[in-house]
Amino acid sequence: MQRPVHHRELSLARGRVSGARRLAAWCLLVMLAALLPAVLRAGEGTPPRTFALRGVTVYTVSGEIHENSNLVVEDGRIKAVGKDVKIPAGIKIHDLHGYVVMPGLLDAETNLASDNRETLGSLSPQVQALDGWDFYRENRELLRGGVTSVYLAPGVPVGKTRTRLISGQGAVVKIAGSKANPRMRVVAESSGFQVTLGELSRIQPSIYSPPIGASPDNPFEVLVPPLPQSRAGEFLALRQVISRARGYRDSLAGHLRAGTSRPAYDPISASLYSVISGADHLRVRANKARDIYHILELAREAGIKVVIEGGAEAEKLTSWLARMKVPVIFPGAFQSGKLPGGDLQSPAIEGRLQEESILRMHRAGVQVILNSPTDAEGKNLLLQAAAAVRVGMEPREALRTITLNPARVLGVADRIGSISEGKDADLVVLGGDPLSADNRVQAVFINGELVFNRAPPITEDCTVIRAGRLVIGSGAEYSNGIVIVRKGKIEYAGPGLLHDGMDKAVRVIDASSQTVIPGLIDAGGTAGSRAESLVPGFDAAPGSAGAGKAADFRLVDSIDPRDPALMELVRAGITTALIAPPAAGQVSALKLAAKDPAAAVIKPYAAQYFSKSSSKTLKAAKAYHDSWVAFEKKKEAAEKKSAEFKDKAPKLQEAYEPYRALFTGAVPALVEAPNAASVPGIVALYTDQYKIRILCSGLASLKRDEDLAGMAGLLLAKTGGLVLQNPLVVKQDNTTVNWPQRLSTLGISFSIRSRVADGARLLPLQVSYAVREGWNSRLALRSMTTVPAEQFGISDRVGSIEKGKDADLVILSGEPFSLTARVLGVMVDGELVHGVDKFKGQVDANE
Amino acid sequence: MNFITPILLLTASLTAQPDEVVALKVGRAITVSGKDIEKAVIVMENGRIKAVGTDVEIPRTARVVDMPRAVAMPGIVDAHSVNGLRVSNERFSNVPYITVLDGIDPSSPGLSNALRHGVTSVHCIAGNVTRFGGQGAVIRTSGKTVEELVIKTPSAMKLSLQPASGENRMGNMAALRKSFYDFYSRMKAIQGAGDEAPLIENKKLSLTDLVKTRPGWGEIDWKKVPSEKVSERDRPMRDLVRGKLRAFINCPTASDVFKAFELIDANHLDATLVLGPDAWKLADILAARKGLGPVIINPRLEVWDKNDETGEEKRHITPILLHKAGVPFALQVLSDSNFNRGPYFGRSGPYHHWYQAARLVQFGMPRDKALETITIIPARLIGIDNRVGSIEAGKDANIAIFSGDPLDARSWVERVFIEGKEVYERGKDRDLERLLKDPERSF
Repeated sequence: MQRPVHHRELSLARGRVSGARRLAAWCLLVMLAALLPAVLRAGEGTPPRTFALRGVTVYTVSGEIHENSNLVVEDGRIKAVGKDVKIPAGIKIHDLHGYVVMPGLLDAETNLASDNRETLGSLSPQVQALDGWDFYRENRELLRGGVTSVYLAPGVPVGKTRTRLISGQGAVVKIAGSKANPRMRVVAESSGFQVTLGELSRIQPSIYSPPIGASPDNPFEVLVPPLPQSRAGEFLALRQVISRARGYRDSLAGHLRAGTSRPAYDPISASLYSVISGADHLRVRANKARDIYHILELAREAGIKVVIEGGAEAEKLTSWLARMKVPVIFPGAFQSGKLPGGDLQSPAIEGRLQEESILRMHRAGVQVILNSPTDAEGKNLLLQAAAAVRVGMEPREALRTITLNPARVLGVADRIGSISEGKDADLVVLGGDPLSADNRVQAVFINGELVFNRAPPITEDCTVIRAGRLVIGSGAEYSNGIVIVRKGKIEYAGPGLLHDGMDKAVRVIDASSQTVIPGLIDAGGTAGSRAESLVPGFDAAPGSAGAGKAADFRLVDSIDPRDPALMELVRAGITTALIAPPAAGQVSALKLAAKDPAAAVIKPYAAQYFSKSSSKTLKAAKAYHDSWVAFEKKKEAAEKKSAEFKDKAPKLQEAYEPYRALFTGAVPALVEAPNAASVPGIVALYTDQYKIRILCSGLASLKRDEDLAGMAGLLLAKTGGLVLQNPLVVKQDNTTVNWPQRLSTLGISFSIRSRVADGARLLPLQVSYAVREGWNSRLALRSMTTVPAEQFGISDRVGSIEKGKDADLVILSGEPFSLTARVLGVMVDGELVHGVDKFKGQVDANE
Repeated sequence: MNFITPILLLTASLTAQPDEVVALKVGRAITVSGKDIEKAVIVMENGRIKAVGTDVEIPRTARVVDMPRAVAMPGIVDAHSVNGLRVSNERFSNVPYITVLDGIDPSSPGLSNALRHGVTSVHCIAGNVTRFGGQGAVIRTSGKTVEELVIKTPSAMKLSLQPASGENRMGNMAALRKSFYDFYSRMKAIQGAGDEAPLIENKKLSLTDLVKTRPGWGEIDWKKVPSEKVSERDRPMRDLVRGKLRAFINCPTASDVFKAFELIDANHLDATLVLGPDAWKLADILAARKGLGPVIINPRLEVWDKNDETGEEKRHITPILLHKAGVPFALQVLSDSNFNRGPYFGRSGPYHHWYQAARLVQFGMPRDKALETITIIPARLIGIDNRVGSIEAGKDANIAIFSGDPLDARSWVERVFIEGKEVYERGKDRDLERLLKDPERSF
């Protein structure tokens, strides 16, 4: 039944206006016009639910795709859309260049109004699904999938079936928005009378009529037993109820025309009047071809509209369905985690059609509507449409099966289903083509109200970075992304749009034509250190007392985090450096330009460095460790038994104490491997003999004729990875060898170290050179971000732009590791520590 | 079945000592109608309050009850309860003609317990799971027979949007509508208008409108429906749609309120909404509704709402949201299946009106407004505000005397007067004595 319910204010606006009222309205307008400048000045000129989307690609669904266009929404309705559409002055503008806008999806089949209980009566068309709908239900899982309106099925879902022959009338509602008056979300109070054929509609209702004082002689009885018990009986009941409705209508018409007696009110006939008058349809759940056949026969004979739901075997009746213009609502092919069973011979399996069959029917002219086979897991209609495109449906047609087609069939196409002037502003914003897998729904408007936004709200204590391209580091990348920073940590990083709270943020760094990447990590340098001569045991023989002492040496202790020289690295985009000693000692992770210099060392002991393998040192350290382990074990056992424990603790040997972390696995050993040939020996000693987790570093004199595949196998199987040293691209035997590229093809992931102090600022350029020579730029980025962060156990703080990590970012003028990409800004711990004038200027302007 | 026609029983017949004059001297009197009075004297005569004030002349014949530290407040009024009923719901879902009078047990421990906590009037009405739950009654909390208990009957009829007996919400609503139009059809038959009158409110209808027109309120001319022709079963429905019997509409979820509005508008009901725990969502809706009157809120005053997505929980305090929106309300207390089975006084918490009111103050509601929600507002809801709900000259002498502030958990109810008669004295409360002696003892 096409009885859309309009907003109250809308119906007022559309109502007929009498002469006197028109005059009054004019007077009011004139007065308002006089007041307007004042209102605008007060900043309240924009009414709610009025705005423009600028630069979007609009999939109208009904017509063409408007690229790079403007879309104007006025008071919750679409005012204009197109390339040449002028945006009225003074209204709010969302700049969404590169984004796609499409109409909100209409889910043609849900059980959301049902609470799994029953309705009385086999023939109860007077039951209204709207009465079972909870207006306050949160529907985020649907909004997430781009659904803005749903059809509410009346009756009881048992699997996917109603358990009454006619279980009631459905309704169409919007699923969010208008908190002030949820009733305003109703699109059609009544649409489609649900008819269910087959065994399930013959199940006895479990509602009993309890006689007061039930007893064996006076038992509980089924209140209304189901009427028909056979297929013929079901059709007989349907025919009878239709002719009863006709008779009721005719006698009322006679009563109106000729004053004959008025029949008593008949709720069933009154409800079905809209069907026999052609205003509404019967929505028949039928899968078997024979049922569909009989329904079509009934529809033709009685001159009523029907819609088939399910339609597993509908293809057998394709030509008839097309000729009679009977739409079919198919459950989509995709259901997460489920593959249909059954054999290949049968086209229809458990009521689910093969996509090809749907496509063939669509091509033959049947109006097709797709919906998800289940209400669960945030039904994704876009996925169903995409599945249809995979087998050959035109993308435009596929989008129609989840928007305009259901809107037309449900009689609500005057308000929803496509983007055209005058329709409700129910809009879905996506990052790109709606049917591509990597474009998720970013935002949803209902009646011009933003009801879903993937980005969290921006509050007063936020710094916001708008990124033309946002490279997260761990894989994902976004166009027009935003990063929200709060208290030095990343709160959100991802697609950014509709930043309603932008003006609230403490500062906004506009890098919307730049690329933002995570701060880079030098996996081994001596940044800022001028104190190499201080290293004890630098020349000491392995295993000597001097070498032992080196184990607790930290080069980072000789670095002043405030040293201006460190800024050289920061300007190159390096925000964290692993500070490794030249010969032996502990590797520390140092945050460059940290907000708090006292906390600049984010991990003092990230690895133990061995420039040369030393089995003697290891043996002594292991013996020392074992003596402690044995002692602690004994002590624990004694404590458990509450026995007295008198054993003496082993003598504390500070020289060997740091090695204990290696044996417990707390930190890895960073072992220098000059070439491939040295790797097996290192692995045999550290991994096999002492079970120490190692990282191999260096490979500075690697030769191209060595057994690289063998080395790669060992590195992958028995080590924690590789720290590759510059030079990355070398000339050997008159051939240019691009080591990063060669090693990447062998499947090794590695980090890159500079092994120098200030010179590390040129490390990104060296990497760029490797990229230019053929290395993958994204792998290059990982080797300077996520890989070193994982290797040295600092990935909880740095390495990628992800929620909860430190806000260390680099703003580049172009693609990461393109030769000309310039570092325009660097943020560390949420503070812009380096920036060209543009970004500095913004900071100042906002502070 | 015994059908009781609407009657208003007179109070005087119940007062055992009709001639006794009592002068109550208390440290403070909370009048509710006006300001609190320090060192107040309340004179009760013939079951009514004769005078209240600081310098009231005490009649020579009066028995003087002098409690200089005590606080007197109007007897507490419960606007919605199943107190006194053994089984609160009929399993048959459409029983407008049933009356709670047949189910009230004057010896119910629930009543004596209410008295022990200062409650003097209870609106006893069928439970929430019957579509048309029958007629309620306002009763006193002290009396030996049902006749002695009853103040007003029928007081209201319960309609419930909570679906009963395995039915779903849509089916329940369809059945409610049907009950009404079936009733109007029967009335039209009496009126003799079944065959004519396509004119509704003097408008000529189109066929489409006529088909959709259900027999409705506007079609009945009650002058043409003589009372004797209306069956006894239909009389409560008639009183309901004529506004002579108030409807208490149970709305267990927020969305049900819209259905209640539909029923009220279509049938011109004089209705009170009994709201569920999620009524905090409705503050604006209720405030905007014209002619709504006070509502009755769920005993769960605060609700934690969990966001499934983020796992965040948010607290909503229904009474405060309603108070800020300007929606008056009456409080309910929690009841469970043991309500009428044993002494309740061992339990503390939302089982008692004073406790619920104290929580309102804790949540930030002004004290006087909080006290109104358990006195004058419920009295108004059940139409006995001319008699109870405040300490004013001329009103029934229903007074609860607390040992201290009524909203203080350390205060005891010392004495209770109902219509001038002392019906409770803590020193003579044997159940309480037994309980205090042996808290583990089961009754």
